[in-house]
Amino acid sequence: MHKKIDRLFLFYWPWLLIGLVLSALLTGLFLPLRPRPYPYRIIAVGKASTQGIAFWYSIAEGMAAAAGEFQMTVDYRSPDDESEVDRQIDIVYQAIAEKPDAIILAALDADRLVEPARAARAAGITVVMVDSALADVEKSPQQSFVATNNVLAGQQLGELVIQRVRPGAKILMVSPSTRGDSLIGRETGVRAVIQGTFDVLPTLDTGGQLSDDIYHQVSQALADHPDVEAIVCLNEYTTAGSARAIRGASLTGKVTLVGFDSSEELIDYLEEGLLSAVVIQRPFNMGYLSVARTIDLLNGRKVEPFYDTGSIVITKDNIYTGENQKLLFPFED
Amino acid sequence: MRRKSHLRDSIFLTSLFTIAGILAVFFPLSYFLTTDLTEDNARDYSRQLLGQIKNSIEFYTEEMIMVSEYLAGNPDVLLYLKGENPLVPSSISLYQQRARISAELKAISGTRQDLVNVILFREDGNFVTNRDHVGLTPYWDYREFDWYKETVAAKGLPRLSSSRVENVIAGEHRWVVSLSRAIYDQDHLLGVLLIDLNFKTISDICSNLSGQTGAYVFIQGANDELVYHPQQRLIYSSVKSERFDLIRRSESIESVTSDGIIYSSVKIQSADWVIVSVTDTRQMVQVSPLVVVTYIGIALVFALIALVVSLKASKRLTDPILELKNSMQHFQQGDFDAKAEITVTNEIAELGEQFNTMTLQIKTLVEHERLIEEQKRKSEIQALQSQIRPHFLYNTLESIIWMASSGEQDKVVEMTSSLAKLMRASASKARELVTVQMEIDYVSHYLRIQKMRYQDKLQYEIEIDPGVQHARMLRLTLQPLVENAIYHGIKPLRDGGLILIRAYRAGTELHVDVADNGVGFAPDAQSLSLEASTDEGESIGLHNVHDRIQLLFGKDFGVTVRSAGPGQDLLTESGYDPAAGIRTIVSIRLPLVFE
Repeated sequence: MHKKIDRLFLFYWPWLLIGLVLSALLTGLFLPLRPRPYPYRIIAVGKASTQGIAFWYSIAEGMAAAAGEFQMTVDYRSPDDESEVDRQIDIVYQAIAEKPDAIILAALDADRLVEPARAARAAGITVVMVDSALADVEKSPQQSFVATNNVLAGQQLGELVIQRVRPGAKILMVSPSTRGDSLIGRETGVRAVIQGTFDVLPTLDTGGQLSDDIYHQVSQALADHPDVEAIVCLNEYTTAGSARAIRGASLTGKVTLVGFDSSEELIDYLEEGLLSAVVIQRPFNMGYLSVARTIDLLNGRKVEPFYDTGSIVITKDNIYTGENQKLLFPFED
Repeated sequence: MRRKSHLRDSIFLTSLFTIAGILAVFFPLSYFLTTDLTEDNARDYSRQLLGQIKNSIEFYTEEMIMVSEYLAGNPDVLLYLKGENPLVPSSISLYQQRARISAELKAISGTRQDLVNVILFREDGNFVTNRDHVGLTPYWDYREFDWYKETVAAKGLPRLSSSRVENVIAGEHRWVVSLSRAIYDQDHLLGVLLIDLNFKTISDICSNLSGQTGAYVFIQGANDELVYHPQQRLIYSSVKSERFDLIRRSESIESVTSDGIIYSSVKIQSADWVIVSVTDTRQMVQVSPLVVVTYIGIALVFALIALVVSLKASKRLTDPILELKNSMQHFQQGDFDAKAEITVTNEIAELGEQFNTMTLQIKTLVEHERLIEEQKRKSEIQALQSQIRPHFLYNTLESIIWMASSGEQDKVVEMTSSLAKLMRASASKARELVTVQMEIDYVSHYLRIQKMRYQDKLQYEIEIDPGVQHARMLRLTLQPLVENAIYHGIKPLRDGGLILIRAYRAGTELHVDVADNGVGFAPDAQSLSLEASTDEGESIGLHNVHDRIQLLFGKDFGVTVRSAGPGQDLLTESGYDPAAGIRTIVSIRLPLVFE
């Protein structure tokens, strides 16, 4: 009797298969072709805390907006400030251990984060970079990269110097780090524009510390080079620290300051005239696109290796115009 | 390997395709019905939502207008704004004036938490706010701002701004929506009133009320700028786009659907703002994968059940048919004992039973046919045996030789002629049934020969009822009886005997009697069993005749022997002359048939 049933199913299994395939086809036909809102688990590892740092606050906000469209959330984690590369590496490994579907990473160190990113890929985790990529894009484990085109942004910054400072003047460049991919790009961009025209001092690497320390470092540099006519800063808190150093040295109006990114403090300096101009990024868009493209990847769609979210020049005159207001004042309350 | 059953395939496929067809209709139908329902619900919901948001926002804008109207008509405010005007009582100092107005403004903003700033700008640059210890920003002259210029140009009508960052207060950048109003004394501009509503009040209304489902709300101000949009930054940088062309600036709610996205819009009364709700029904349908999964699950479960049921049903139906078919094949190959053993009880079982009955009947028929065939052969052999024996031929020829040698020419001719006729009749391939007359003629030749041989010792008489002359009887049945009568009845007699042959009708039967007045049988031989064959050659002739008649006509007919042995009373049968002294009557009984 058992044999008989076995034989029966042996004979009919092609029909069963056809039935199943038919059901699957029907299913495929009537399911919306758009991605299904799977609740993917996505962990974002940023460079710094969202607490009080407008840039990372906006990135996280953008990430949440994109995830919200798919009824998901993004778990944002970061070291407290941008000097803690080891801490960020730890955070990435910890995230890998939690086996999320994807990790969105802003690399504090373009070289040292390659290994953790590889480990994530090896664990079957999708890796998308935001803001700062890994070194050697061709071979790196990153699957996509959403950021400002930092070389272009650096060139914008360089143009600001050319517009404001007499040729041949001595110029100080301040960067929080020379290891982050975004900063390397900006520096390259700035130097490409100003290198021949001005007397550019070796870049002051402040070592990722926050404003107070930068204030002292820049003050020292100003003391060492009293003939500096312009300071070019490559991120928000080096700009703030440099502004304080200029005011501290009573050099307002004498030293032209151009910077990168914005904060309430920097806007005050802009309105005051202590800060001449800043190049700002679109962190909200960056966060939004990084999550949107990650979900695309998870849904099996093809994505570009790089998305440029653009950069904008802000001076005192265009602070309160349309888009700029939104970029400069991300906190609604 | 079991042979493929086409019937089962067709039953199985029919049920499979029927079910697949039903599912194929049912599934999309329910899906589209659900979708349709979802879209209707979504539209209703979006309109409801929009109505609520409109009411909430109008509450705040109208409140600001009310406050502005109250302040614009307030005598203290007017007095303060007129400033150097000589009509102002000099007893009240500017400081006192400002303190009174500031208290008034504080009272207003104190009851309304959402009013951030209430600032009264006097034309000469003096100002009063609702807040203590705040100053105006040193970096800007508010008179240079667009909002200020436009407010002045509006000639005392309230102007509602878009969402903006308030930048007149030193060290503060708050998101607000501002109502501004120029205050005139006839054509003379006295000052400007600025009321800032915390923008969070508006954005919270929009974001909280949309909340669930795939819907969101945005506000478009005059000049098409966005007052509020949950993803304003994405729209500014063209990462996302909005179908502004679908927005209707009407004071009643209007809905436009495009590509599954419902745009419902309504203009608020107190300002040139349009509130728009956007509901992506595609996403909503998509948001309920549970429904889809449930449908698929149900469909699959049904399909599986149907598959199993149709398999079972087709098997239940075709298995007995296969069994029947196998039995039939066995039967066809000659196994008459083949039986269909069908366990189910339905029409096919009945068919099986009928098949079994049929095989049984056929088996019986074949058996019967075989028996008949056997008997036929036996009968033919017996018929052969009934033919003239060589011994008789030898004796007759002896007689002829003897007659010829004694010169009895005539007798030789007669005897030879009779013998020839006898031989011809005996050897002829005539039918099994001949007329009584023909059989009598045949036996007459025989008797004639015998009479010539035995001379006076043998007398015979033949008597045929005219009615039975043409009746049919088995050929070569009479001769053995006559032969028997001669050899066993007459021959032992010294004085010779008489043989009587009578053919007559007895009811529906034909009787042909061969009677003699010979020695008769012994008492024990009287009941001569004709069924049992004996070793004595004499009675073989009688047995053969009896068997042949019974074979052809059945057990009711045959040969009857009655005899009176020596010392017994003579037979007194009707139709026989008692004087004839008949001792033995052998009768052939046959059904009376003529054709």
